[in-house]
Amino acid sequence: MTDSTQTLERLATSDYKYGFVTDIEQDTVPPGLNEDVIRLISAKKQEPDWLLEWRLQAYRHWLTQKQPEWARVHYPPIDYQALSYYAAPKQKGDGPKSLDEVDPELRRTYEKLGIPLAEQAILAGVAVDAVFDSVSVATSYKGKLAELGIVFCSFSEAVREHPELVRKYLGTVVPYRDNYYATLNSAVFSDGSFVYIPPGVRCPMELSTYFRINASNTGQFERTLIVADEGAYVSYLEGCTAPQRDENQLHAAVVELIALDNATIKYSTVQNWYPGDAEGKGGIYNFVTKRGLCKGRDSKISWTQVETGSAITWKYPSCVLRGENSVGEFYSVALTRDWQQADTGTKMIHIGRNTRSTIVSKGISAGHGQNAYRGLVKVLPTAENARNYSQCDSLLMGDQCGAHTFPYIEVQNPSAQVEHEASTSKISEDQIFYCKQRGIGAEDAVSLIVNGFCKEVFKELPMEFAVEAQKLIELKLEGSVG
Amino acid sequence: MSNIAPVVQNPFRQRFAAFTADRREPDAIARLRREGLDRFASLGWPTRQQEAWRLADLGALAQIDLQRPADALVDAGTLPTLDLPTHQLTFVNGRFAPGLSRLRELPNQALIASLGQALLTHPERIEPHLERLPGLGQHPFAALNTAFWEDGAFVYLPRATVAETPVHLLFHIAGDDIAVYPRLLLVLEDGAQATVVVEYRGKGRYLNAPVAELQLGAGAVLHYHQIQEESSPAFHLGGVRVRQDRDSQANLHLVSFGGQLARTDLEVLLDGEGASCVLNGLILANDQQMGDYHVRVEHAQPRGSSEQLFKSVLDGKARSVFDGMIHVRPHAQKTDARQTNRNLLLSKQAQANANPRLEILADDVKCGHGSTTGFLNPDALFYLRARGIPAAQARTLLVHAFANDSLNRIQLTPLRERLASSLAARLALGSIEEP
Repeated sequence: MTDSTQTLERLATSDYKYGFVTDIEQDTVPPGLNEDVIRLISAKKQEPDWLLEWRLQAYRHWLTQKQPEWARVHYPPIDYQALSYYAAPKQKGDGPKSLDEVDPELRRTYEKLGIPLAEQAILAGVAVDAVFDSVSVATSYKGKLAELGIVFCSFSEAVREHPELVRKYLGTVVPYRDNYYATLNSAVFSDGSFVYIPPGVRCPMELSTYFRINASNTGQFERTLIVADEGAYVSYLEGCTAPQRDENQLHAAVVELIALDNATIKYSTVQNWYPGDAEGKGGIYNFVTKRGLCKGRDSKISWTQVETGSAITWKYPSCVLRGENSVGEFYSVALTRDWQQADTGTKMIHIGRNTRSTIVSKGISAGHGQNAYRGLVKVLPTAENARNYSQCDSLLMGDQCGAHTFPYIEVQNPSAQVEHEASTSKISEDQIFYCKQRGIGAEDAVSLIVNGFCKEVFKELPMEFAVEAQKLIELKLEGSVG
Repeated sequence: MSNIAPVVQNPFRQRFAAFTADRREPDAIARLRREGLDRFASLGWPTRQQEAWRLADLGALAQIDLQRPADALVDAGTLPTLDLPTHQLTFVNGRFAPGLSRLRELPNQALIASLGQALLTHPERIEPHLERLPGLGQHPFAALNTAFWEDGAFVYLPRATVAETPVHLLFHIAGDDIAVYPRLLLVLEDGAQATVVVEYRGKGRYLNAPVAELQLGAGAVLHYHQIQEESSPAFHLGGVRVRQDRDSQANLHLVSFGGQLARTDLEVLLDGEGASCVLNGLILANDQQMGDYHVRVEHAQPRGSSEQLFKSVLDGKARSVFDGMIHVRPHAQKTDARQTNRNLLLSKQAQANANPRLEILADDVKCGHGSTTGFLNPDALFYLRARGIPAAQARTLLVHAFANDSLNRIQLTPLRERLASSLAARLALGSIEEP
């Protein structure tokens, strides 16, 4: 225990690699939130009236709401009037016509993060829609996707170019009244990604967005909407890293997925926002609403997430299984160390016949980290022969951290089969001893065991992401062997 | 508080004045009662907006103008018996019925009596223990019990005493629109051992809100059985709290058959190294019944172990709730905790809710939980039918096997057998069909 604990601790104290600030001019709205700010955001983005009206409805509803307190996370009250709700990098002229025109300062930031925006993008075959704070600054591979009729663009662009699609689907999965943060997002969302895959099209590459929060005191409120029409397939990657700051930053995104008949959407996230320093100072509050609707029969939505960052993570990517035979999946690795808190999980709502869902959640806690799985499996009377399997495992490293499991299971149909299993343990000294005996150092042994623990989830990630996720976990756990 | 309608709060305050006016009790007890009433006032009548009462519908109960019960006569022949010698205490409408009670010879210094009597003869043994256990602080009906209990049972076993004869406590209620608040205080000093059977039953539409406090000294062993067979229109909202010292062992069996809404909040505090508990619960519900167990096991010291098995069999429009929490405190290392919940749905309208929860703040622990909900295993049905057993009979067989798995853990043979036949009779009422 002793020397391995020290190694663990040394690893756990390694610095945040991505903590730097990009120095570019920002076009920021002064702090505060009222109807005028919303009108200003909407005007800056040249939005149609219906969207402004929708934002205002959400804002008026938000005023009647109270911040939720049920999650097992603790933080000082947020002053929503002290936040600035819009920040866009200033552009020269009408914006970049190609990648070369993108602000070099911004490009360097992405390069430090190792994001394949330019050459790497081509080599890796990834189309990157990079969101720098709130406005999409570069979009690649658009032409190639356009040939297939695929729409992959920033949300604001989608509002301008494809208003009929946006209007048809926006808010149908996460209505603006859904919850406190989703309502706030609906009122002030800045930008995000929009994807539409036409009937029968299989998207030939992984679509990817890297989000960054940069300006100090800017809440970032992305809105992502992905629609897979009948028989379509898409795999979408979302990756996040943020620079080091001392003040807590709020991040309240909304992601909506819609899968029609026979469509499949695979949504993968690696979240590595700034978690705060070793004393728990600073860090991102990540209060996100993600939900997918399996609207058509035989549709499938699969969420995979690797959550390693943020001071607080409050996130429950969910599936509403309405279509007959539809399938929902949730694979998650959540890691908390130092003073990080995570309250994450999923909801699987079985409505249609023969719907199936799988939940695999792996929580790792080190240092003073608090990690909670919270999930709901609900089988409605109409969900004949529904099937759910849930597995939640927790790994504890150190005696100051906590692992919690709060599953809610509500079954209203006797033909349903619902199973839930959870376990909590630490890396045993026997396992470490076994590895050391075979010449594997304590640190490598822990990395090996942790990777084995997470394997079921990592194998669901697209290849490049899986490698990155594995490296990220190793990096995060440097020094926390126990 | 803001969410209590004045109509609900005021009658309890008024009744409290009338209730306490003619009671002659030590000041300490009177103070506890007032604190209980204040706690109820601050908690308020539970609403579905509160997480702990989210699934309970207390609307029908709130409509009843609950009165203090009158005395009732009960025919001794209708009371359940255990086919073996017991120390029996019977309470009718919350009041001790000496004529229906019988005590056998007790070990030296031991005391089994009604709480009211014991308070007159041995207040020094009661006051240090009554209302001393943490937990149930948020339970409004436990607070009401503390304010309004009339009588109950007191079981005290001194150091290293083994009570060979089981203690049988019968709480019978008869009447409509009445509220009864029975109380049980059990104190096992270091190394003492006891077997206790508590039975709740009655006739009419009433509220039974019992509270049991069980204290186990170092190395004490307790076998506790709580059989709830209230009348079908009755409400049972009870609380059981347990504190265990070093190396003590508690085996708790809870069986819930009756009532339209039957809920027990059970809290076990493992407060000494190496303490262990086994919690075993069964709900059988039909028609509009709702059975509910809220369980919290608090591992406060190292090397404790706890095992929970909670099962429910639901037919008709019945609902069940299992809300179980294992909480492991930061220095409760080497804890071994296991929680299992299994629900069997026999009809399309039945509904099972399971919230098996873990909160773990120590790293060197083994904790796990599992929950399953569904109809009978089709493979098992097929297996039986392949051997010539008709479908209906095969289903009955499997349902019995599922429920008896819980009852078979009861070591007290006469009780186990009586419950098994009661179970069979209840299951026979509804035919088990393919839902």
